[in-house]
Amino acid sequence: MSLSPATIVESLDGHSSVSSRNGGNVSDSGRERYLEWLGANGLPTRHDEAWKYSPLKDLLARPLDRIASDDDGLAVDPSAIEAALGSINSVESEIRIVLVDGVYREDLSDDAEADGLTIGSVGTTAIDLTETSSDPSSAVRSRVDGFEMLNRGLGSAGVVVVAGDGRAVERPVHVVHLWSGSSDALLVQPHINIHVGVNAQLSVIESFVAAGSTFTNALTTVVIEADGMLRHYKLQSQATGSVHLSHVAVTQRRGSSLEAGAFMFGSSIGRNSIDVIAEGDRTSTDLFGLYLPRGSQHIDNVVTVEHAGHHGSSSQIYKGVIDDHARGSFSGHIIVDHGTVGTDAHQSNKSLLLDPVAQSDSRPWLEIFADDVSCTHGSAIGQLDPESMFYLRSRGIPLDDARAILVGGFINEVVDKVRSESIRHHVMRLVKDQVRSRFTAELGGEL
Amino acid sequence: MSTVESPTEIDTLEPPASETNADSEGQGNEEIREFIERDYQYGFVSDLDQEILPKGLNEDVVRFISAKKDEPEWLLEWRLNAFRHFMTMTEPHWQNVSFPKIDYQDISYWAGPKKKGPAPKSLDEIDPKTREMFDKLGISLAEQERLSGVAVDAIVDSVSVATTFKTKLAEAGVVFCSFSEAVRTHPELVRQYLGTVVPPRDNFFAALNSAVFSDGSFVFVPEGVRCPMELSTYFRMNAAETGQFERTLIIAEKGATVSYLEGCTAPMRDENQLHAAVVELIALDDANIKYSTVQNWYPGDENGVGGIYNFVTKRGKCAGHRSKISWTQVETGSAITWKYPSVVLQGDDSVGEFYSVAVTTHYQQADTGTKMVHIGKNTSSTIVSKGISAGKAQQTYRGQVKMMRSATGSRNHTQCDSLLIGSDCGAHTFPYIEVKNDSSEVEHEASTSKISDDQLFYCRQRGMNEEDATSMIVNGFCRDVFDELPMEFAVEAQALMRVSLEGSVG
Repeated sequence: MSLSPATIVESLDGHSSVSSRNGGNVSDSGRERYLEWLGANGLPTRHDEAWKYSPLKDLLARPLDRIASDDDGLAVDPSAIEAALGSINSVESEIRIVLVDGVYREDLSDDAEADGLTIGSVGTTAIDLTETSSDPSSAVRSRVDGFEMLNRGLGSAGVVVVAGDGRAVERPVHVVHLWSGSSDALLVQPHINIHVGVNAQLSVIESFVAAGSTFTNALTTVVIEADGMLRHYKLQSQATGSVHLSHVAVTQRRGSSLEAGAFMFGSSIGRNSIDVIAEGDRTSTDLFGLYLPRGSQHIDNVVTVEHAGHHGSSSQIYKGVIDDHARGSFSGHIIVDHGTVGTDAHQSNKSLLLDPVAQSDSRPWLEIFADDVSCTHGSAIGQLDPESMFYLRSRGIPLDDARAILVGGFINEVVDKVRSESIRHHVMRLVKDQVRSRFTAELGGEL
Repeated sequence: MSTVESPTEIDTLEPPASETNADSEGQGNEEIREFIERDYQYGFVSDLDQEILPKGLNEDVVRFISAKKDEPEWLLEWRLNAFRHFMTMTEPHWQNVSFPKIDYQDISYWAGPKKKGPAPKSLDEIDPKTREMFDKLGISLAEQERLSGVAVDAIVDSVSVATTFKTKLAEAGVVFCSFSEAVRTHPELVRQYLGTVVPPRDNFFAALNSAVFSDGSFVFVPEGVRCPMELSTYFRMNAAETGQFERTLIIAEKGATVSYLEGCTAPMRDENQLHAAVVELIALDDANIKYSTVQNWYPGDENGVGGIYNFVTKRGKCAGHRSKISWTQVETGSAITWKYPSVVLQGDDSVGEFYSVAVTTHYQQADTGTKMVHIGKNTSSTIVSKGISAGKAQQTYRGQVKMMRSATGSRNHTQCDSLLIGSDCGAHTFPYIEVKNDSSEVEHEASTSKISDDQLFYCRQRGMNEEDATSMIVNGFCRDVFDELPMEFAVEAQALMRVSLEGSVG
């Protein structure tokens, strides 16, 4: 039987066979639960609203050789991925965590104990996970889908990053997702479990830099305890031909704040999703994203923020620049629960279409069950302003440069949302590379 | 609304003297509560002698309805095809409303007033009880005919009983009659256009309607004619437990202009009533159709019992270049409103508009909005939707704007705002925006909030009481839409708003 996400799930009827194929990944009872869910509910279909704009047909039928197991990742020789490791730009003073084929490699990662961080893979370290794994990050939410469950059920054991109570970790954690290239059609399912303690602060950057046509189904689960703060950035520049699905599930406790940015550059099919439940009062949630699909790329962003506590505030700013016959989609969803007061939530999606056959979809949704709210959303889809173009051209600026300047100005609003200066530089460098390769022109703005 | 004679009106419109003078904050809440608990004012049942088909739905029922109306063979076939397809379909469940499962075999699909002798030739010949009912609704035909200059095609349940101003319209060449009459007198037009905008297989309720539609209105405005008056139809549901399946078809030929008004009230019922109408509009080159609705069907009582299920498919096709279709709706009634008046912008430079005010209180639910499908070049559409949700009501705006690849240079602007009154209600906004070319521009903006304390404070400190202040703010909130209504309806809409909101909230 040829393997694809659809056939994997079909075979779950007797998932003991999957378990044995996957090197005994299905060992603990938690996984059984997820697989049961998956067996009962299956993978998303085109009737699932959240997957409306994703090319599900292609995703589900995507041929795979096998599912990456923990043993695969651990067995990869460091020399085999030396080149890949060397090509990664570091963030200033980073604490690097390396995952190979979705598996945490302690030998390639930095030690962070001095910084008040505990990092380790589930099961192999002495981290007390009773709180982190039995609690919300691993609990089955009401809004889950088949791919999240596929990761939880058959994915890698995962790596846990814990910032202890009161610890303000200054150095940013840089999670680098690498691929061994041992097989083109490998289903790679990393799971990062981030726990930010009471009054702790942490910055995490996740870089996805696969070469080859891999299928990534990543999951990041986050709990931010009271008054904690997390900055999380996703930088995806996988090779053409690859599939990238990544889901971030966040639970925010009282007074906590989250800043999460997603920069989707690579992959043929990319889906960036984040689901934040602000269950405590007075939370602050700041989400933003940038997607620059071109060629035949299809990039989808699915953003959900649920305000379950009082006086929460949230903002979403997502921008897309869509070229060639690519397609970019945004589905934003703000939910304000019944009985809450003082919610302030805003959502904005703007896209530029640069080619007559480019396509953009936008669904800025509000679902509000309380009256003491102030919620707005806006969406605009258009093209480069001809008057601005004329202004630049009339001053002797070549067409490509003029376009690059205008696109740069459009993009900068999102890049500027990155508050940490060193990380912003890192992101800016990637964005500039992207724009340069597109317009063969330099992008304005600070570097 | 002053012409409405309802036993409940006196109780609800005149608050005790102590309340009118009070303007404390508690009083404001009291008024809000009172408004939320307001009874439906138009609940009365006329005792007409009805002819009702036994409950159930099968091919025989379809044949019975068709035979009853002396329909030609092709229309019966058309109905039967729709019916056979309907039987293969399942009820949709994606909507954001909930209701007990409808048993389609537990509905009577035909009800009409029994004819007493030959059809009436003038108003004098109409059943006195029917006339009395219209008087209660405030649409005395005699008065309408003499004073208002609006032609009224009054429908009691399923059969059109009176049509006025026919002569005047005929002089202009406008055909305005009941649907069954049109089938007899203009079969070629009906056959050419029926189902071209909303095909029988379009959706579950359109298929049901196509199979069992009883009657409705038909309008044809020939080339170059500007319809000399506003056309209006009163839909009225009267028999208990009778689904009503209206079919409206409006055709505006090249350069024609027509404004159509539809207004609804229905008597109080405990049993839920299903209403699945289909409205089709066709605008050829340079034609202009304006369709306005004021809907005030029985919304159910304060516990959410009873009320009308309003599941309607309304769609217009701007088939010709430079044509324009405009929907304006004021929705205050129905237990559940579920409809999306849409425009297919096929002709180049065509224009689509949607203006809506929806008010939901008690346990009312509404999932309404529009679809704008841009196919032609340089087409433009405007959507303005205002939702007011109070009590335990849930209201959803769901709108789709689609720019096809061929729709170069097209524009859309959407604005949808929601106002929440009370902490138990909900307001939801689900827009879908899809753009497939790089020369179109689409803008969507929306906001959801309660009436701002600042605005209230501003008004209050200038000596207005809370009632007037709220009323003014709500009125201003809906202004953009009311301005689009024809004169006759603007008055009625404001009266409706006063009844539903202003009289009590503010």
